[in-house]
Amino acid sequence: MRRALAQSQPVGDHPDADLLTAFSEGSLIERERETVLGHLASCAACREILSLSAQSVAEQQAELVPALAAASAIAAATASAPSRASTPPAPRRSRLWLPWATAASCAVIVCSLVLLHVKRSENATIATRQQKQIAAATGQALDKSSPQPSLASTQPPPAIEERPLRKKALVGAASQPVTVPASPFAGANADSAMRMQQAMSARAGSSPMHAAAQSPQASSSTNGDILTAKAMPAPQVALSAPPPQQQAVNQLATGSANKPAAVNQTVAVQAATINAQSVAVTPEPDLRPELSNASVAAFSAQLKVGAAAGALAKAQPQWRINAQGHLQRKFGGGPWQPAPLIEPARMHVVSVFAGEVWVGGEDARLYRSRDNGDTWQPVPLPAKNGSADTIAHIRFATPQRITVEASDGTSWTTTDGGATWN
Amino acid sequence: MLPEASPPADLLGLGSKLRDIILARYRESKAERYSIVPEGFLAVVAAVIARYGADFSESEKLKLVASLRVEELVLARACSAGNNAAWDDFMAHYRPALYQSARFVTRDDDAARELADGLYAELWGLPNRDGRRISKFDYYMGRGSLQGWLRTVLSQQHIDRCRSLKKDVSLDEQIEAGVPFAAKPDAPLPIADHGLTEAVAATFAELGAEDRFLLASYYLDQQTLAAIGRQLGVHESTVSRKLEKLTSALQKQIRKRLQAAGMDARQCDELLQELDVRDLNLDVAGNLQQERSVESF
Repeated sequence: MRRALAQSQPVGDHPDADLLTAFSEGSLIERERETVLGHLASCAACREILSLSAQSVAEQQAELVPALAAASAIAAATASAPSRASTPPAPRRSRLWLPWATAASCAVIVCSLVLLHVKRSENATIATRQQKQIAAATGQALDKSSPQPSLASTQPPPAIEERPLRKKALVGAASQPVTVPASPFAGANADSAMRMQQAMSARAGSSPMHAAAQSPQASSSTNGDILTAKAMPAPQVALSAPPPQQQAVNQLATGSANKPAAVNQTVAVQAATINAQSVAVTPEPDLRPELSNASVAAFSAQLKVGAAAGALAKAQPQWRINAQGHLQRKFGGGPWQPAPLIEPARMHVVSVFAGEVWVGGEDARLYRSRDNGDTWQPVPLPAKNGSADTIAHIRFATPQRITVEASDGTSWTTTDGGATWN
Repeated sequence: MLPEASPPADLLGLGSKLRDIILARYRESKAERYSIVPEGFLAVVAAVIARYGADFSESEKLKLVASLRVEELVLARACSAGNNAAWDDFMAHYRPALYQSARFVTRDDDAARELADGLYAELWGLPNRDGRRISKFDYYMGRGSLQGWLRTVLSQQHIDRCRSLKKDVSLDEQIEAGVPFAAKPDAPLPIADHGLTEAVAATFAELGAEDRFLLASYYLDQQTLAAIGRQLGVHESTVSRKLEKLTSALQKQIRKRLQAAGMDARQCDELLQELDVRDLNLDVAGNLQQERSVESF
């Protein structure tokens, strides 16, 4: 065998650097490749050059991309150590991590699904509660403004869809009297929703369309920002408004303009109209259902509910904290007025959720108001780590579960709407 | 050795189709940026065809032309001709990579600097006996990338340098290392033949180039699967699979030949148990001592 193998001599001339490069880059034509390969099989010197060159390429790439470096290190470790030990290489040994990785992935997916489910159920609870409040308020409004029976009162409450399907919303034009869609931030946590809403507020300012599009999630404005906070969510009609329905909207707008306000506030019919229009989802023409007179009438009633609820939303003040740290509010297009707080203190954050206004400021002062800022109750926070810093965040997970965070990172959490704090 | 001077394209017998494709590649090459006219480009490509594809069929020549790195080829030729714009481009795009490659090849900053500077001087051109400046760029033919070519040349020069340094060991150092007093290596143990030599020789003779390359790289050069995979452009698991298949096929073939030579199954088993694949590979490693001293390209 030795004699036989010793006879193997380099075949042909040594390939030049160009050919070796082209070989390693795979750009040789088949015949050349075979020739070069035949030579390499019997020429240790050329194999050495090729190996060194290819190795430096790999190292260069690994240096450029750290992830590649890690991958190549793993590859080198799995390739050299075990397979060098015995003659038959054992590539499967390098895949031992696969079952573990699969199990870990499954665990992560299951945890994510559980968390998502919990989050959705919380959101659904909030939305249901708010829908009930709106229905109660709008029911009174309709009783005063229109003898027409409300579909909201005759039909069972629609299912809350966290992420209403476009097609479902269109088809359900007649069957869903008032759909209070979950927040566009449904699925995100309250904190991220709040931040997103702050960003939206900052962009939209006090635009009525923005006000209409506010979600039932908590929103807050920080000191110095001219942000708005709506106390109640504007109900949204998650339906398209085809021409007859649009007429109904206009009729409703003009008709209800002369009616008294539902909740001791001025009914901003125009804003309600804008609400209804601004949140309408434009459907594809081919998917738009044909509506009968009955369904148009039903939809008209829905819009009244929506308009009244919009008026309710419109009646809520907007909030801000000015550069001096004073809390201010305004109703509709009126001027900004200072909110009557119990003691003058520099405020930092205002947050509105489920009809309650919470405001926090320096020295860990925290107040809340259930009547749109007419009266305020101080919320004493227990001493914790000796912190008396400025309140930086007020976060609502649910109306009962609230987290307050100071600027030094100290946080307090209540699960009973502020009665006790941890 | 310098590439031969390129004869005119028509003398090379380039077909009209080939000529058209070369001219099409001229437009891709941005050769006009370096003031290279189509005729000049045609001559450059004709020289490449003459060097590598003299015995190629027409279709293979077309493939060859299509696979050329024309943009880098014209850059190299323009640098060789001393075009300032080409040198600017080279300095901007390739010089940093040259030093970086040298660092990866040598794994030592000083040696890398020395190696890269040496190659850079050769690229600039050293005067020959007639006083004419000869640039190393003239050896680049555009078959692979210019950066890859530079890296291969660096690797080759580094290996040559290491070998030359290895030879230059002083007598004192040899004495210190005990070389004169070292015992002679043991003679290899005699192995009972039983026709094994013929069987192995015949089996090895039937192997293809890639199989022999795999065996030599893995068992002789002790390269890793990943390194072999990089050279062949395949994944290391493919290399592993091929090697596994190959060694098992080798065993089967040798056993078959031994049985054909009159050995019964039990004797084959005993022989192959004594000379299992590892032993076989050790023998291969000991006997595939091939030519190692190579002249520079």
